[in-house]
Amino acid sequence: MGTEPSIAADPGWDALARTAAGDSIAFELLVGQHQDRLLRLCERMLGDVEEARDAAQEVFLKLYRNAASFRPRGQLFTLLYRIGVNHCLNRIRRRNLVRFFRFSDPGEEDAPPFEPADRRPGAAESMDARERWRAVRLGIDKLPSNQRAVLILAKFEGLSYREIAEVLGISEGAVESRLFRAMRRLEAAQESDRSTVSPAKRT
Amino acid sequence: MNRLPEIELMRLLHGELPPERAFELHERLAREPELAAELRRLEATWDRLELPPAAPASRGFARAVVGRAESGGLWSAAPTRVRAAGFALLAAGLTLGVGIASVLARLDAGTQASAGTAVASSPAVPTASAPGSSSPTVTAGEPGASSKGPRPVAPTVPAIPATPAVPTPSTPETPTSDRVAELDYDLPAEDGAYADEGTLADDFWQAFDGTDTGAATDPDTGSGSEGL
Repeated sequence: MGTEPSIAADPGWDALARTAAGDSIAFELLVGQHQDRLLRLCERMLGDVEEARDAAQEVFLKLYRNAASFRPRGQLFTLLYRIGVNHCLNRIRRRNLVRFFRFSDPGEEDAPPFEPADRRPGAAESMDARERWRAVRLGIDKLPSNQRAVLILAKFEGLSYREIAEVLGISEGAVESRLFRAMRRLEAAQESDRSTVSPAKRT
Repeated sequence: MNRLPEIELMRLLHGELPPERAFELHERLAREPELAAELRRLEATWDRLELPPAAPASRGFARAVVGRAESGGLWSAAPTRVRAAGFALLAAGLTLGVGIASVLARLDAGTQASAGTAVASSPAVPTASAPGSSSPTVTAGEPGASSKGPRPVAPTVPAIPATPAVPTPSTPETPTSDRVAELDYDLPAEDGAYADEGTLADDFWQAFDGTDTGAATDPDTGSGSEGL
C-alpha cells in the first residue's frame, strides 16, 4: 500500500505484451491469475453472480482486444479494476435506463433481486446473515455510482486511497470525500432500517 | 461536528493516517468523548458492511474467455476505436444513402408535378406518335397547327376535362371554345330531338289546310308536297 511497484514487479504486463503478440496461452494464464479478483469486484458492483460472470468475461475480452494499446504503468490489476469498474457502471446505467423506460415500480427499482448464496453452516445464523447482507446490498445499491465504486474498492477489495485514486483516475482527496459521503448515506440507511425493524420486532 | 475531524477519523479507521497524525488524534480522542463516540459510530457502520463471500470462478472460466476471444474473429478482436469507426462509417453510409434516395424521390415527384400542371394548363398536348413516325402530332388547338405540320388529332389524355374527345373538326382554324359551343348546340341533334323538323312543318300545313299529307313519316321523299 502506498508505494508504486515497478513494472518489473508485475509480470502481468509481460503477459499482456505477449497476448498482444498473439500468445493465447499467455492470455489464459493472465485470466487465470486475475479471474477471482475480477469476478468478486463485478459481483460486488452488480449484486448478481450471473451478470458478474458475463461482465468479467467482457472485461477480459476488452483487455484482449486492446492489449497492444495499454502502456505498462503501476500494477496490471489496477488497469483491470479500472476497466471492470467502468464496465459495471455502464451496465448499471443501462439497467437503470431500462427500468426507467419500463416505468418500473420505484420500490422494485430500489430492490434488485439479491439472493445471497448460503455458504455458511447453521440455519438460524444463515437467516440472520442473509437479512444483513440484503440490507447492506440495498444500501450499496442506493448509493450514487461514484460513491459505490469507491466504497466497494475500499471496503471489499481492500485497496488503499492511493490505489483507488489510480483505478478511478481521481485524486486522493476525491476518494476520501466520496467515501465520507458514502459512509454518511449508509449510516442514515442503517438508522432508518433500525427504526423500521425495531417496532416490528417488538410486536 | 464539522467534516474535517470526521474525515480524519475515517482515515484513522482505514489506516490511512500518517503515524504522527494518528498519535495526535488518539490523544485528542482520549480528551474528547464526543469525538471518541463518533469514531465508534463510524467503526460500527464500517463493520456492518458485510456481504456474502463471492463465488469463485468456475474451472473452465479462463478457457471459455480465451475461446471467446479467439473465436470472435477479426471484428471482435479489433480495438474498440476501430470498431467504433466502423460503426460510424456504416451509419454515415446509411445516412448518405437515405439522403440520396429522398433527394431522388423529391426530384421525381417534382418532375411529375410539373408535367401534370403543364397538361392541365396548356391546350396543346403532345400525343403519342404513331409507330415509326418521327414527327410528333399536335392537337387542333395548338397555334399554327393548321398552317404547318401534320393534321391535328383529338387529344386522348383523360386528364383534360375542358377538351373532351371529339371527332376531327372539318376546319382546323375554329377555336376550341367555339367548337365546343357548336358541339353543345349540335348535341341534341344526335339524339334525334330535332330530326323531324319536316314533320312539324307538315303538321303546321296540315292544320292550316286541314289536309293530311302523309309527309310526317317520310319527309325526304317529298310526298308532303304532293298533297299541296
